[in-house]
Amino acid sequence: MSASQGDKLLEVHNLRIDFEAHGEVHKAVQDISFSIDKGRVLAVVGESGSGKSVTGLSLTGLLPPPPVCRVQGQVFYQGKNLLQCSSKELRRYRGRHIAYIFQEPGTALNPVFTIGYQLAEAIRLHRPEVKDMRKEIIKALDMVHIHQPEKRFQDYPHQLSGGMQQRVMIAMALACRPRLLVADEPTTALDVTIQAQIMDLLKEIRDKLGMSIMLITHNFGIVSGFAHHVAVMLRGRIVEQGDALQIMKNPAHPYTRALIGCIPLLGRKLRRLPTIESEYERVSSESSDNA
Amino acid sequence: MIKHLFKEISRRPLGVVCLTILGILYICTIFSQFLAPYLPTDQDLNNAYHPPTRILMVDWRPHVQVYEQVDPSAARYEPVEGATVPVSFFASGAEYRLWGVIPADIRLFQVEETHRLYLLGSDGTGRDVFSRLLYGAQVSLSIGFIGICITMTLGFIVGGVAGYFGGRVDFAAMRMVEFIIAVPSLYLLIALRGALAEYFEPEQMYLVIVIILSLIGWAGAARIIRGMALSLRQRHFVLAAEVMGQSSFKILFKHFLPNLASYLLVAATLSIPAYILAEAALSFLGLGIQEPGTSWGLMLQQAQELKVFTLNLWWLLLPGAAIFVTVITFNVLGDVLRDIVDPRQQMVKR
Amino acid sequence: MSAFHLKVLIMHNTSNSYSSAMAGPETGRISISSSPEGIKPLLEVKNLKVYFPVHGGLLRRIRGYVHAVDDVSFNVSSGSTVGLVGESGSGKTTIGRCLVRLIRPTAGSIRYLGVETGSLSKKTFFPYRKKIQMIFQDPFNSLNPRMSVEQILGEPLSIHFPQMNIEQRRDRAAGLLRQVGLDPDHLRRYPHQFSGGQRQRIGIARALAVEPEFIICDEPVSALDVSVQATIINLLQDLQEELGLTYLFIAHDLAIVEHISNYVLVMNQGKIVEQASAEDIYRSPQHPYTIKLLEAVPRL
Repeated sequence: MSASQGDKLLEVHNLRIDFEAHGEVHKAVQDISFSIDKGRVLAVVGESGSGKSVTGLSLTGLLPPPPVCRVQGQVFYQGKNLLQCSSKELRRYRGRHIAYIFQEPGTALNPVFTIGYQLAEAIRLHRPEVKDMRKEIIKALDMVHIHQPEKRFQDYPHQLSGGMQQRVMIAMALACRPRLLVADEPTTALDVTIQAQIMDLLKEIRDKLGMSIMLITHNFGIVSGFAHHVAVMLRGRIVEQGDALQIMKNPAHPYTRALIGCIPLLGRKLRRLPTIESEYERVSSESSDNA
Repeated sequence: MIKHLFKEISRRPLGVVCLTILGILYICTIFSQFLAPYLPTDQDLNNAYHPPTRILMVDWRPHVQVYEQVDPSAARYEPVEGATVPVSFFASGAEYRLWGVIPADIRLFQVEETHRLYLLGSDGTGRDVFSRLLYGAQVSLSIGFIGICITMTLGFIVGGVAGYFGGRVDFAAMRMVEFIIAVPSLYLLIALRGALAEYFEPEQMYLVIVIILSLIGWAGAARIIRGMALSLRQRHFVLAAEVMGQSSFKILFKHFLPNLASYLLVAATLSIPAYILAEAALSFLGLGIQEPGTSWGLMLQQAQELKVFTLNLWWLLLPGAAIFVTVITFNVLGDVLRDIVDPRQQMVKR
Repeated sequence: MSAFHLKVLIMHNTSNSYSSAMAGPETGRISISSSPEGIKPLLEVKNLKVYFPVHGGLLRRIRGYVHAVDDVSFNVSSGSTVGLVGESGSGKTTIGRCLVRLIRPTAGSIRYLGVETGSLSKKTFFPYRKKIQMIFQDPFNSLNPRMSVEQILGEPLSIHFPQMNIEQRRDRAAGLLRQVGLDPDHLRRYPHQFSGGQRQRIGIARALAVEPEFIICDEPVSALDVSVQATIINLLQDLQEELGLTYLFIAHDLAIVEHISNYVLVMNQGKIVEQASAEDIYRSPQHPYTIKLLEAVPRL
């Protein structure tokens, strides 16, 4: 990584996240450090329970407060340590600077409001200067390639397919022009065809808006051609990180190699699919990355 | 699951307090015949509106202060200086059948028959309020349990069947539920009570009231359970059971019931107070338990004389306090249970 | 695939009605039966239609019908894996559920070993419940959270092997756990104590409990991590080899379907738009929809 110090949008140093339940401490994230450069894409790849989702949530204090969950370390966003901000300050960063999209768009949208209303709410919250809301909504929907946005924005979430809902979620995230988009498994709940479309959309946004993206996924298959950097997480630790092309071509850690190897590829007539050794596969039953 | 619940309740101070209070109340109810010094019908017209007697320690033994009636019209009693009667424990008193079966006459404490021990005072006919409270608890505290058993059973069967089978069964069941919910229940109760009164003994009336109350009450539960059953029906483990050829009856009891159990438990705990209050209200209106039976509601009704207030006969209002404590305790316990059950349910649902 | 597996065939018994079910002339691939003469396929589905009524208005009258499955025909021969691929809403799950009678078809015939099962009564269909089993998509949803693993695996045993006593059932359940690669000591655990992949293994063990011949795998891996997907797919293949199972493998990911299946059916909007051997689908897809599916598969 040749990026100079000034290009760094987000720097995470020695992040630790502990969960406590019934007197037991579960170390979700153990001492990880990474950074995201301006306009670049970092993919955090790992299996369920590796701590990748909580890492994304911890950036803007979206995890439950202590004593349930304790976050230590430093998260520097443009030189400011977010972990020491008050919840009021953090709220300013959420959405405006760091926006999120999640795995299940169906549950992230409120079913009783139209998508236009929900979009307007997001825009109003972070960009009160916007005058022509209708135009802004249509622009936002148009950017995520929703056809006939002037008709669609009056739809309710259930009238849209899963892929469309995810597009709306992306439109909402982008409405505030964030510097960093945290995409937590944005395509996992979707069909392969829709998955490809959403990834294409994210690629386009990356190139057009020059925004930084933190892609959290379990699937190396969607990383290639999208991410600049990759961090591979295993049980709360980053086992390997670096340039995406390099890692994909030449993975150093055996776990990375296994994660890449197990992607189902077409026309590769193998008798058996490569799997990750049972040692890695055994996910502790308490881990609840998706809970 | 029960074990898990107890463990979780024991973690919460509020839960422990509630369980302790209810435990004491119900133990007292079960052993009321043993704990009460007198029969609820045991009158003593010379000691009407007697205030609670003082207990003194003489020679390391509890003694009861002897009182003298000063003014019969104002129900004023003065303690007689130096005159006391010893309290004897595990002495034989009025005969009773423990739980209606075992004949016995041993009672926890007694005084000699020439005098009376009124722990919580006496009522207008000199009956011991403490004894009547204990006997009354048998009615007031069991009515909720019996009622809730009928309500939840009916609610689960009708709601579960409607939700599971859907279609016409569902339609028929839900129209029936709507019909029952639409019936003005107080008028129905009064009418039924009036119509049935001549066919039942006063003691049987207690059962009749419970049954009437729960026959009206099940509809609400059925509607909620039906909604839950509808969503359970789509869960893949129910489909899996169907694919393996499980019978509908067993799916209902093996798959639906355990998954609804936590809801049923919370709902039951939260609706027991309604039954206690309903019984109290009916008895207060003269539609519930009749003399010579006793219940908290009936006792409260007898305390609504002006005399009680003008002469400050506060002990006659104790049944009201008992209802209050029981209802509050059940409600709080229900809330604690819901707190325990809800996050778990969310976890299961992912 | 081992030599044990027979080649799957999709036959055009009545070619006229069949080709009308195809989406258009460009999909007119003729599949050639490669099965030995005279051997009947395990499952024959012919002109299957499932229409769901759409209710509307005040009286909830039927306004129209959704053609969830529209005139679908295919065969599955014994010991093979037939992949059924399509997007959500294409009707693939509906077909799977029809085969185990979770849904009643509107029209068409389903023959299992030559016997028309579509018209059987609940009672006469019961023996087929032992032969045809199903594995479900969501491992968090498919196990009763209130039942221990022993109870989950014991349930099908008590239905189809009523002569077994408790010990025999427990032994069998432990054996099933071993068979799917889980620790037999976990019998007393509850579903929430397992990870997603482990739960799916329990789901597979439950399906295997009744010693079925034919298993419908309804998106068995799409809710799992990619790394776990591979282990489940391998397990399914091992079990097939070991027990001579036949699979109908339903998924939206063509890469997985192509890997596990001998024969692939591509479904779109209730119709089968293309069907061919897995290799042909990958090498020379005919229908534009198939090409779209192929292009969607991630490449490294």
